[in-house]
Amino acid sequence: MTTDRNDSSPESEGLIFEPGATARIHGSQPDIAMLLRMVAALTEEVNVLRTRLDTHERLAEAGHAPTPLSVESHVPSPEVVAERIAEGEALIARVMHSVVEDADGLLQDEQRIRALWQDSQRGDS
Amino acid sequence: MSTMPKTMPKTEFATDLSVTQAGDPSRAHPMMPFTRHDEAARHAHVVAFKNFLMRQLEPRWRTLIDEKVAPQMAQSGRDAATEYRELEKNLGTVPAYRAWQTLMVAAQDEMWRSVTESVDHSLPELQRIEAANAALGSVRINPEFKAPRYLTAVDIHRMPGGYHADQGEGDLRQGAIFDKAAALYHMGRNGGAMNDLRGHTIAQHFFDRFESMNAENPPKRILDLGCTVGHSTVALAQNFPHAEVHGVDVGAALLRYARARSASLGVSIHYSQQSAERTDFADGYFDMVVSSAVLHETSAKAAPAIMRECWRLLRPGGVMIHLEVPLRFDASAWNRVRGWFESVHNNEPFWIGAQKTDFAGLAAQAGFAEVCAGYQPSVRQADPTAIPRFTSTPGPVHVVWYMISGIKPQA
Ligand SMILES: C[S@@+](CC[C@H](N)C(=O)[O-])C[C@H]1O[C@@H](n2cnc3c(N)ncnc32)[C@H](O)[C@@H]1O
Repeated sequence: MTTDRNDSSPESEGLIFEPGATARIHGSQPDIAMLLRMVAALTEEVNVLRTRLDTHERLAEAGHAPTPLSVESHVPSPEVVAERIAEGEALIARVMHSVVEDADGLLQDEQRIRALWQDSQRGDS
Repeated sequence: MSTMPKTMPKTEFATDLSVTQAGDPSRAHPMMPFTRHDEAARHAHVVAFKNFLMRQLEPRWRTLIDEKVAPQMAQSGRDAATEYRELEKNLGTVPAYRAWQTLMVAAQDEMWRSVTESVDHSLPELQRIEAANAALGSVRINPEFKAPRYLTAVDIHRMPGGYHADQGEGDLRQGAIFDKAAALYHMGRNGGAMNDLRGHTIAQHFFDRFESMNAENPPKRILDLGCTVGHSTVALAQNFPHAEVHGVDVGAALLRYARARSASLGVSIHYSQQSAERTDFADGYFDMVVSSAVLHETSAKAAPAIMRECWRLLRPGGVMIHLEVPLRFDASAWNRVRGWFESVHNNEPFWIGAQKTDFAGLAAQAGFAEVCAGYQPSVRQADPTAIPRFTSTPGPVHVVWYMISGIKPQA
């Protein structure tokens, strides 16, 4: 490790970037990244609504009216929380299916895989 | 969307949650911030989102890099693990990989955002609980203290405000945020809502390696460097109930919260705001000095300085133990690419540096004897009578932890 540089350089500290440097995702376009974040946020809203619906159903099953107070007071068991996390993951996987599909497509595509490293010498373009 | 019951004024709401959530296992201790129904749903969503990204998508990248790309490159006489920076750039041509990175960052940001929402309405009630337990333990804040640059240059883990943010006297906010987020961050694998798996694992390491010392002369004064909100410190105090236990960290709000949290669990710990590189304790004051998941967040200069400070702080015969993320066991090309992502996009500027650092060598250089580095299997509860399981066999994070330990030689 380089330790003989200027005392306060990030390299001399083993740190890999300058303070304040913004991390860049290679190839990422700001508007697409923005859209992805919006889809992620929207998926969360749907999942939160589903959880609320689930609480309503559980309350009704136990003979309680789903009022704002009874919903707030409902404490799900750890098993129910685990179930909800698993269902949430399945929901997210359905919404983001095309991402998984692209990854799987790549894994089957020898040409695309080779391009990942045969071009390596060229570096960032 | 507000889920506030319309009939209830906002200020009374947290009090009400403290009743309704009294038996909620995710709260674990009285100082844990309260969650409204939809907030809890958001927190569960964050875990589901991270599960999807890390357990469904990420294994595909590992297959791609370690099982396809690396063997192909090897056939052409090239080493994928060495060329990880080039590979990482070329992965930028893959739409799903770009999406994965963007979504990883989004999930992390949403974790902090959703937790902060819960903390902000819980603070008045948390301050009341803090005051009710004011007598137990202590906290020393130093208004002159400046956190080291490696902690302030970026918000580590993308936690807004980092470890050091503080709004002045009485502020608990940053500590409460860290505590509430920790179980989500670890996806429950660091000891559930208590997050004390690492603390118990450090105690177990001491029992495994220094059994006779524990029987004859158990540590009476223990220091936890980089204690954050005392997750591991509390577990240490519980395993050494007769010891005087101290914790240091850089953030005032973290430490105030840490004291209140420990006290609410009935544990007395003395917290102080200072740098682990140079503390104000007397030479030889401690029998045991530990750190947990701290070294990889320091720097190439700070890590050896911390080792030297441990040496100064220990009495001859005293024990130093550092727990680390098992960074080095996996030298695969994917782990390198992943490490780069962690460094740059999850704001861990020393992650790559730590992967390359020989911490055991640093301990020996600082003067420690019987230095050992290896893997300690995680335990939920340390047990001095358990068969020692400290091993040289690596394993994944949370299942094992990388330990570096040694003894300060008798003069
Ligand atoms: C990942 S957290 C450790 C968590 C905690 N030890 C546990 O096991 O739950 C890293 C902590 O180390 C602290 N830290 C890093 N360098 C430090 C230094 N030089 N002095 C004091 N604390 C430091 C950070 O402020 C942060 O709170």
